[in-house]
Amino acid sequence: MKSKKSQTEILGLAIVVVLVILGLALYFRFSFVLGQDNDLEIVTDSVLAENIIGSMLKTNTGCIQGQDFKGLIISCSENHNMPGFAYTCSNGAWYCDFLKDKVEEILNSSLRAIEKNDYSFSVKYEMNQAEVIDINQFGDSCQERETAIYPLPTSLGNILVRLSICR
Amino acid sequence: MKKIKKSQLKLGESIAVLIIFIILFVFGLFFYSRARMSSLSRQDLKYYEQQLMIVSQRMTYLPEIQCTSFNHIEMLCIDKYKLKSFSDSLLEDDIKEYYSSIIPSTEINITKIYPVQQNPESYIISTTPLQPTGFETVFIPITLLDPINNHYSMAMMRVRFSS
Repeated sequence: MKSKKSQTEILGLAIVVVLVILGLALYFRFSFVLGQDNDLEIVTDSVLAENIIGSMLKTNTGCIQGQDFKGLIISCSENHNMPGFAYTCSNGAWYCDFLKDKVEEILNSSLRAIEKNDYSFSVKYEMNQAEVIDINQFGDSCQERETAIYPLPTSLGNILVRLSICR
Repeated sequence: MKKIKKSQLKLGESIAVLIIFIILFVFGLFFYSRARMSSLSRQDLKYYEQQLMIVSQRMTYLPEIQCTSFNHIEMLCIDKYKLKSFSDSLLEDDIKEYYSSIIPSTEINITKIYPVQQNPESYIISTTPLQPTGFETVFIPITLLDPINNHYSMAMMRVRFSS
């Protein structure tokens, strides 16, 4: 009889322990869900990189009357290995130097305004990955990146315009 | 005397068990209500985020301000003259009322970022005056076309949706 009573008490204690564990498990599950990433931020970061490249390529450069960034990137890529034959803008700057300066200017004013300080921009040949332009502003703290790639045709093969933004 | 003491002990034990169960119940109720509240506020945030995306998409592809040339629509491009005219027309109450149903509780600010200027061109479109806090914001890079000079500039569109 005495042993039956103690068995019941142990069973009660076990139920309490199970309830406490269940409560804790539920608590940790919900706190994990709350800690997940913001969906909007993920979507907007990936779209942001695409939209920046898309709108930048259409924008007039100011290098030569009527030339857009798409034309300037293509001209720079076709001539970057031949400095002797390099084209210059109306202000005397070499195409690729002008391009690099202006791309940095655009990315700084657009991304830094929305507190996205870490980014990288590059123009490379698709075939041999030869680098035409490379701007790297990534810090050590950046863990996840959203990248947009835009291919452009040139007389020497396709080039890839790539913009990565730290999430 | 001894019998009374035993029943008192039993009663005390029952009360203690009851108190522990009540504490556990209240504890569970507290956690459940907290989790439910968090889930509701998350749903609320999701709803506003969806509304913000809908409004920003509507604004980006609004035919009234989009760049067009011989029925060809340019993506992510806004005609600056159409934009100026649209912004001015929203000062009239009946037009504002009509657009309040298309872009409700929204303030849109379009600022030119390239070529860099001392005082950059800026356009504001607002259907409802926003409170200083309690809104969601999204930034969309666009091109701003001057169709007279056929000149494309780069601009940033900031969409604020009141939550």
